[in-house]
Amino acid sequence: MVKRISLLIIVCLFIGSVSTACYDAVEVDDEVYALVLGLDKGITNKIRVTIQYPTYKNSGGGSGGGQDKKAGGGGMEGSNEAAGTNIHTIEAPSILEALDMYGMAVSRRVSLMHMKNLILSEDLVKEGIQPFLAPLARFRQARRVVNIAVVKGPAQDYIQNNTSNIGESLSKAMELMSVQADNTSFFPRVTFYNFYTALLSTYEQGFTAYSGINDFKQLPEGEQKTESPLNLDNGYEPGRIPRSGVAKREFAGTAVFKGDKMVGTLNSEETRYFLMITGKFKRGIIDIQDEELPEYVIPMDFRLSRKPVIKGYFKKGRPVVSVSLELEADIGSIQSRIDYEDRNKIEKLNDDAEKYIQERVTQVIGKVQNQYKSDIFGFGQQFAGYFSNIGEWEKFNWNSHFQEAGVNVKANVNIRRTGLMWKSSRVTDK
Amino acid sequence: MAKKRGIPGLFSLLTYKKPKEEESFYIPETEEEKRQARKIRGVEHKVRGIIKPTPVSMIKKVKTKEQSKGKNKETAREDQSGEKYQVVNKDDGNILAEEISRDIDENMELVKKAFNAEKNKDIIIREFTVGGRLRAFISYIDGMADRITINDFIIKPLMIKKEFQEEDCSLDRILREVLETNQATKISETGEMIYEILVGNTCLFVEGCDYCVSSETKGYERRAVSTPQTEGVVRGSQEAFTENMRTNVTLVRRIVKNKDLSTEFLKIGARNQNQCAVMYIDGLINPAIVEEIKRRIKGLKTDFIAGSGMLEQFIEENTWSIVPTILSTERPDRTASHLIEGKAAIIADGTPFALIVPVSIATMLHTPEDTTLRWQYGTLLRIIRIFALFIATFIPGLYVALTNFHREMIPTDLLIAIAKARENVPFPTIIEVLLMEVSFELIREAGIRIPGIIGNTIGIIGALILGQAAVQANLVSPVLIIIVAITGLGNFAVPDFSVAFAARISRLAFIILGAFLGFYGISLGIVVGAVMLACTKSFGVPMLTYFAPKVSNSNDLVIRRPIWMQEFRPENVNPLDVTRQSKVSRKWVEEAPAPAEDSDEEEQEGKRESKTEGEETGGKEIKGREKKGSGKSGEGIEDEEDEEDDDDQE
Amino acid sequence: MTTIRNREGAFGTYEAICITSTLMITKIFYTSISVIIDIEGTSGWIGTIVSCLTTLVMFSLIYMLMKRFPNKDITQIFEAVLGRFSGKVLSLVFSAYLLFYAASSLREFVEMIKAYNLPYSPPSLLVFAFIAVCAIVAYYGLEGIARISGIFFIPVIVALFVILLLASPNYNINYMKPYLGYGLKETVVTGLLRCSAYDEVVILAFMINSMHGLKTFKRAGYSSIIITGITFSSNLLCNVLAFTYTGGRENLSGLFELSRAIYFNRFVQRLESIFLFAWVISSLVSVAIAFYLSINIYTKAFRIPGHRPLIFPFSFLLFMVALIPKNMSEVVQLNIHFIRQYSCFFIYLVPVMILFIAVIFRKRGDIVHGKKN
Repeated sequence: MVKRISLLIIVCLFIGSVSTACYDAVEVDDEVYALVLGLDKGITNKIRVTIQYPTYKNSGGGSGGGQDKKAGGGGMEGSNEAAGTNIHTIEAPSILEALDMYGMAVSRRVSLMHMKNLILSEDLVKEGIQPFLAPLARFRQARRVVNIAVVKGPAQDYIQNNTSNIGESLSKAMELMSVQADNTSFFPRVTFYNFYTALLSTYEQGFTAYSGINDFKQLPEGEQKTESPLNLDNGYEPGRIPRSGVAKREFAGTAVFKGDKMVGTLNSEETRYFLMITGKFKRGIIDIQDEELPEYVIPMDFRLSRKPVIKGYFKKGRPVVSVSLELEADIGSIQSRIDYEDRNKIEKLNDDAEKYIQERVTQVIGKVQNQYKSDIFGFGQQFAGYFSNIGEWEKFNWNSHFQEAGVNVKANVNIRRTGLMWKSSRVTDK
Repeated sequence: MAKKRGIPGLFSLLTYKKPKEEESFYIPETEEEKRQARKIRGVEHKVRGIIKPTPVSMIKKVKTKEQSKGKNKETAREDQSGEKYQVVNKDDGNILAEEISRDIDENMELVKKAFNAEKNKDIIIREFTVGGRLRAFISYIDGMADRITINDFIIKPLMIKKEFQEEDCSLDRILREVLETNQATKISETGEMIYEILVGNTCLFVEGCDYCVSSETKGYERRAVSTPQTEGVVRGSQEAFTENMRTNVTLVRRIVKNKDLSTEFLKIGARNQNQCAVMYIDGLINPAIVEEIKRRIKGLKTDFIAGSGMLEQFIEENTWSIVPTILSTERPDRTASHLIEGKAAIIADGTPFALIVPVSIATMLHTPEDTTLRWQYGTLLRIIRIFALFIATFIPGLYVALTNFHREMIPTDLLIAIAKARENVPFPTIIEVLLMEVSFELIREAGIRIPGIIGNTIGIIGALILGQAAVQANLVSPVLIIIVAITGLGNFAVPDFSVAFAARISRLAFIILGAFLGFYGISLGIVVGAVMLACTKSFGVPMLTYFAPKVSNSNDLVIRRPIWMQEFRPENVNPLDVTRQSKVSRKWVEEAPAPAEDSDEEEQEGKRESKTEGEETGGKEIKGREKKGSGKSGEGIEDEEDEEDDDDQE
Repeated sequence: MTTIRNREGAFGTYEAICITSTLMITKIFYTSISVIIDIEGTSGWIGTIVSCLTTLVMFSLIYMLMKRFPNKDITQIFEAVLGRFSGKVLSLVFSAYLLFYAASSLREFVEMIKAYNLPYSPPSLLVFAFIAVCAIVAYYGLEGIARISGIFFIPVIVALFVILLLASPNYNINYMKPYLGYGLKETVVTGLLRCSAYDEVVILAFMINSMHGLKTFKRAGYSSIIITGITFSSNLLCNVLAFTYTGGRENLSGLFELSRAIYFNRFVQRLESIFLFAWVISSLVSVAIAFYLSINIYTKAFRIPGHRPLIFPFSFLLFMVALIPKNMSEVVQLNIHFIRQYSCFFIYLVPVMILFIAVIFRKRGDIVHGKKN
């Protein structure tokens, strides 16, 4: 009898604990997973929050397919639906409350667990981002590996045009888009973690990718001229790339921050040289002008052969930075068919490339130093070692000394391979 | 543990009581051997500071020994008398009290009464006269005895023999000169006589003798030795045990040709008088293990033990443990290899399985194939198996925990796919999982019951159709089908049947834990499981030895080292001889290869001198030499035996 | 040969190292790292080496004490030196401290798991489940504890270093500048104080009778201190390298953030589960150890044979003590701060004082009988 009673009590305890234990259990489909979080300046309230999450329609797992509305040039504006995703915008005093406020309209809980991109509008960012961004670091759902980007214009519009044009999965599209940074180096891949660390750091300043919407009006229409001009310094800002296609959103260049405020941008070309200094330049094809036949270019595939060596020292109390870049390149093509593969001529080509790169790197540093006065390169890291403790270092305040630092840039280019040919024969009858 | 006892148990935790002396069984260590092993290796044998537990009996040396001895004697006495009293019925007490008399009629009455011959038509009593003068009869059980033997070698010689002289008792002479059976013993105790008849022997009573002669005439229907049903291998022996104990013992003995291989027979089950054999290699196994096995088996007081399955449950240490603590195998070669590692095998009549003790959890995941294959392949197989065990135990639980609690850890695309698939499913994940688990178990159980060839087909078709239909009917999500299927596969890949059961039960526990507390719950479960497993012992050997009490590795635990590196036996059973083979088990690697010219002659030469060596020389020769080498190192017969074994495997 | 062993079971050097190391290393999963970075800045990893060295010295002193009284555990030494009554009182204080330690760790764990994973589950339920497991582990006694620490120590350490390794793309070696953090003085002083973070090694002195003599004691003590020192130091360094000293001091659990910052590509990310399992398991094991030892010391003080009857009341006590702090901040800033920063005054000084008293009054243990293994 006692045994039975005790068994009963244990069962009751078990059921009791079991029924109370499911507080945190949420089914997968009871939530929607916002992939993008866009922040705009609010009009009636502090902040305007836009989310985009995939819908769970066309069930059956994968084979459903074929419902992708082609966004190609067509107007998606105003619609709250973009290829299998829903978009919601709300104004609220804070991001976290906005997430709750969606609950008044969205039938499932909004979760930021799978956020891929954090989109900040330029207007908001220029006023200072600290009150909105910092809370995300504390919020357990937000992952720190979220990619962060500043957009030209309102984030809301940007997200309306954020569609996956190739596959069905928006999340894949977004992750691969940010990986494109490594393939082209036209824009940096910055995660919230990087940005937040830089925000707090005493060594450097933050930067993010710069993004925008292209309305496809940049591609000039009309007669093609008899001779197309050669334009080598073709840095672009988002929204200004002369192109047409399906995806309206584009990433180009870097947004430069000072403290928590955005102070300027670098265009896509400058971003490459900027990334070279920080060592994040993975690879990129840069066209070098053919010195002998200036109407031709030699596209070369550059990459860093090792991490750039940056040294900082004080010269008469003035901080001096020496940047030494080690680059490798492969010849992509030689339009002029001049024998640059030759052992002697390749040296010449090396020198040309060195000069070209050195010049532009110096330019970029100069621009950042003079215009933005914000050490996004992380040069401060080299000077911290000269101070024995944090107190002195913080008193020195590197950020105020950055603009007066002298910078020496040295680039060393080695052309290693010449593609599939090692000689070019003349084109006959030319 | 405490909870199981219920409320009184809880109160007993509150109130103080003197804890009773824990009399757990430990295996004593064999210091001597360790020293020898150290000598052989030349360096300190890596015993990591662990001193193995000693038997309680050794600690409280004199007292308990006496006690236990006394107890043993008592039990033994009880056994003998008890068993025999229970042979027939309660009123048979007087039968056993009766002795075999010189009067043949009385004896016949005795047999008839003992076997209840009026109703029981199985007992055959055949009367005749020996040499035409002496009255005699034989008695046996129909069907258990071989008629041809009885006819040709017992009755015929007895009846033909004419010149019989009057002696005190002619049975002595009959035994000496007449009976043509191979085993024949004199029996004077009634109980013994009854037992002999029961096992299929024939008892011969002759007028004027107060004892009888039992001749070996066992001859009943038995299954032939066939291939293993559950422990099949690709490379390796294809023999399996049968239901017959004698055959089984022989099968083992055929592999272990060692004079020290001892087989002790013990009776189990008072009413069905079953027999079991305890096999071990004397001088290798730690004697404490044998003592303990015998103590446990002799201490059984039950009326019916059908075979090894029931015996296992009766002699295991911890009946509450989920994992088995005794390894049961149907393979003679596996049994033999364990015997050679210094373990004991218990073979009970009636089931084609041998029980191996003591074992650790690692042993359960080994198969004979690991050793017959080259070490790289064997290791791969083992890793796959461990992975399978992991899958079978954890995957559904982890799935439930992930989808209910830790959605941030699922890749986004997969998460959205799951959400899409679940959109029309009307149940929570936990119900989905349980539903699928139950139907999978149903398919499995049904597959065993469905007769013959259809069984397998139904299993596969059932699983496929059921899964497909369930998905289409929106009862479960497709991801879950994959999870359950992979779990099922994992479960089948676990080599030990009992361990697979343990995995199934703990899987259920982990599903529930995962559903209620996510990874936190699963971690709690892992810790509880680990501590319970770590404190479970199999005949004194902790189930997690090598891991939990760290002892030195025998190079054959998870990663199988090359066979020549396995110089030591597993240390957890504390064998009397730790060394399996000498440091250099392949003497040929140290010798110069044979000259390449006229290799044929050389080979002949080599055989005689057993000296030359080369890549092209035959395997046989190497074997011979190696034996010699190990013999020189003086490690005794086991080594040689082992060597041979290893060679076979190579 | 084997000597008489007590009921508690016996274990070797490896298990001893595992027990103490698990107990010490578990705090790496908690606020410990951030607190040190907050105090010492970039030089936390040097500071913890200072603590490690201090602990080695302190442990040597304790070792001398144990050597003076062979075959006695520290509770017996207390009684031998101070007399029965004060010895018992001292043992009880230790028992109470360990219970407090277990309860505070438990509470810190619960607060953190609520922050990270189960924000809406009632804490009492989490605590209840946790204590139930600890009670089960404690039920199996020292043997069970030694074995599970033996089983889980390697996986936990491996998981820890896997996290550090996988997060390595985030490290920037320049973030360890300026090398001396908030100044040498701060570093050394905090380093000395923070030897409290290693003072769990003293539990070896309570378990010495279950080990094989002083040699094991010495070996296990030194190795576990060094293992812990390396782990702490590398963790602190990695945290500073990944988050800088300004970001590193913010995190509730630096290691957890580190594991969340792992991103190789879109396939290799979201690896917190490694952290979660390592964290929960090592917390369980370490609280169970402290809990069991608390009971064990209590039984030794009162010469109660067997610890099992005490599990239930002590679980209840543990539950109560764990629920005393009002909020996370109180747990971290009072309980844990005391345990990790000031407990050394109590833990180390008591045995050292006893040593002095013993030396002054020339008290010694029995002569060692024969050789010990």
